[in-house]
Amino acid sequence: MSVLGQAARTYLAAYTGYVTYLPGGVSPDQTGQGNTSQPYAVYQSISRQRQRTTSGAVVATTERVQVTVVGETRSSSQATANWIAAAITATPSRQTVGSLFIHSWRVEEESSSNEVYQDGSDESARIISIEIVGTYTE
Amino acid sequence: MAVVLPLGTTVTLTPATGTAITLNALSVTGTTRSVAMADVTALSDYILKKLPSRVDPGTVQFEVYLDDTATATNSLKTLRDWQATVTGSSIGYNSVTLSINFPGSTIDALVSYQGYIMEVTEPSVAVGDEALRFSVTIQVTAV
Repeated sequence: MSVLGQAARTYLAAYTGYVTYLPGGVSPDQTGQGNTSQPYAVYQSISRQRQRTTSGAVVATTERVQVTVVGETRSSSQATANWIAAAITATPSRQTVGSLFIHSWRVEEESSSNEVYQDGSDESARIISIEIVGTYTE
Repeated sequence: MAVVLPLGTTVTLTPATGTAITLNALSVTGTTRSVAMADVTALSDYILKKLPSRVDPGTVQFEVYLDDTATATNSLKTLRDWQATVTGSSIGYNSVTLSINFPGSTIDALVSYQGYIMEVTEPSVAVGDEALRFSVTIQVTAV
């Protein structure tokens, strides 16, 4: 379960343009069965690292979460990925999202891929993955 | 009985004047306590003769993260004030005792240093995932 991903979803859902850019919503791991609205996004935790004092108390947690945007066209998925990146970058510093206190977060790596016809699946998709790295205190 | 260290270890700093603080220590680098050797070789000796002389208690350094508290109660300011407080034309120093409280039941008070704060660094600020850190060096005067 990605704590930062969940916070990002809460944040994006309240951000201007959510309905336009993410009609399919944001879901953990995979989108809901029967979801036909695209683009949609899913998130998954890649790694989580805790910083501790000598007493063992956790000072902060740094998490890397991958957000995968899936769209019917390259332009639509790219526009959504750009919108997510712009939304995260808009408030990069200290903030409270839900019950999570985020010290900082930023967008790092972005990669594109394409799922073509005749590969065994029933539809094609243009996929963009971006990674959000953030440090927070629970 | 062996214990696993150092998780569970707390570090406190007690000044000669003022109230003790518990440090948010990320690490403590212990001192190198050494003894200087005096050369007592006579001209007639064909082997160098040396005897232990003065003990050098060394320095101890610890790394802490920057507290997100008010300036007046922030440990960075407190440590700076203990290092040296300039009042008019005079400088006041405060001797401190650094105690490392191991989680063990028998060695909890094993390591304690008394001395003066000689160096307080300030956090390096950069885009990163790390807690803002600074380090403090104490010149040990008694162990």
